[in-house]
Amino acid sequence: MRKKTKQLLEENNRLEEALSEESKTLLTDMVVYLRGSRISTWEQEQVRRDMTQMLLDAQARGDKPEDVLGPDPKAFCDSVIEALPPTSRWVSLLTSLRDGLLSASILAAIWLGFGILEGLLGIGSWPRLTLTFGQLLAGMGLILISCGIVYWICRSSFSSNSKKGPWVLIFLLLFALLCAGTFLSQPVATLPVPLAACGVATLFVLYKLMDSRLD
Amino acid sequence: MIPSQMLKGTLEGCVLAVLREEEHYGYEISQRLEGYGFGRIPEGTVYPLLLRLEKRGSITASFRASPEGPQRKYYALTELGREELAEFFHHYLELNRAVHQLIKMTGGYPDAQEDEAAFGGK
Repeated sequence: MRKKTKQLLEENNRLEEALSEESKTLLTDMVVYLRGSRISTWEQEQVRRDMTQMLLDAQARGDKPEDVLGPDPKAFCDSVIEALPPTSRWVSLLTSLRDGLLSASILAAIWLGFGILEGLLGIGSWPRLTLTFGQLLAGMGLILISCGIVYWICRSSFSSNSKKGPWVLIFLLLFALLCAGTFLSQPVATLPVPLAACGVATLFVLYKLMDSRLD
Repeated sequence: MIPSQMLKGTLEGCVLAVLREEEHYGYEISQRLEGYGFGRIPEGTVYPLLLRLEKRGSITASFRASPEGPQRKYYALTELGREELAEFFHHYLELNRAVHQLIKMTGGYPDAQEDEAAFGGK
């Protein structure tokens, strides 16, 4: 995230603290909904600042949030999204890649950590680490499921029955991935620990580089 | 109260017209519109229009401190906005003339009072 976006985000977090609980809940729903749209994070934060100021202003006048935004906050958000230019497919792709790199670097760091732990306990293929087909499949599956959950939460932020959701399906998928990670033990790559650590660091550096130029 | 579908096509031009004389913030714009007889138009209806106009370069926005607390975003008309407003007036007059003519030629307003006000009676 670029510096100016981060600054505005922090400023918005501070501004939001003065809102009433009712306004804060509504604003959170609206911001979550906007997060799932194809408008840039910079635009999202600008809209968030405007909405917070509108709600604070209304609060000072003694008006209710619905007096300012109308009876349908989802329709309001849709008209805001419609009024703003969507990010290009190229930028959307890079943003997804950046998020994927962060997730991949975290999962790879966990894999590395467990590999080192196994080495310390005297088990596994130490001083080389083995990435199995099951671990790779589980990692990719976890990233995809996480993206799906985030997308679903964003799209259903105004839905009153969002708590029901597809949680059973998600837990079944997670269980399947856990089984795959445990039982599909064919090796995909066997790497020396320093090389594996460099790989994890490279993923994280790539993420940081992309993050400083996007949003 | 004017139906929202009827307002849809003209509200953008009306917002530009409100900003013709001086800068206003969102709530003030909706209050002005209400004062002109448009009925209650929440700030949330005006805000997406303002965003669109700002993106197009028809208006500019600047933040100013408000005596009641949070900063307010004031909107002002740009040169492009003035041109668009002139165009809106032109098109609106055209539409107004056509509708007026249509009503007159097809038997006037059903309400006698409205008919009197528009055409001075039959």
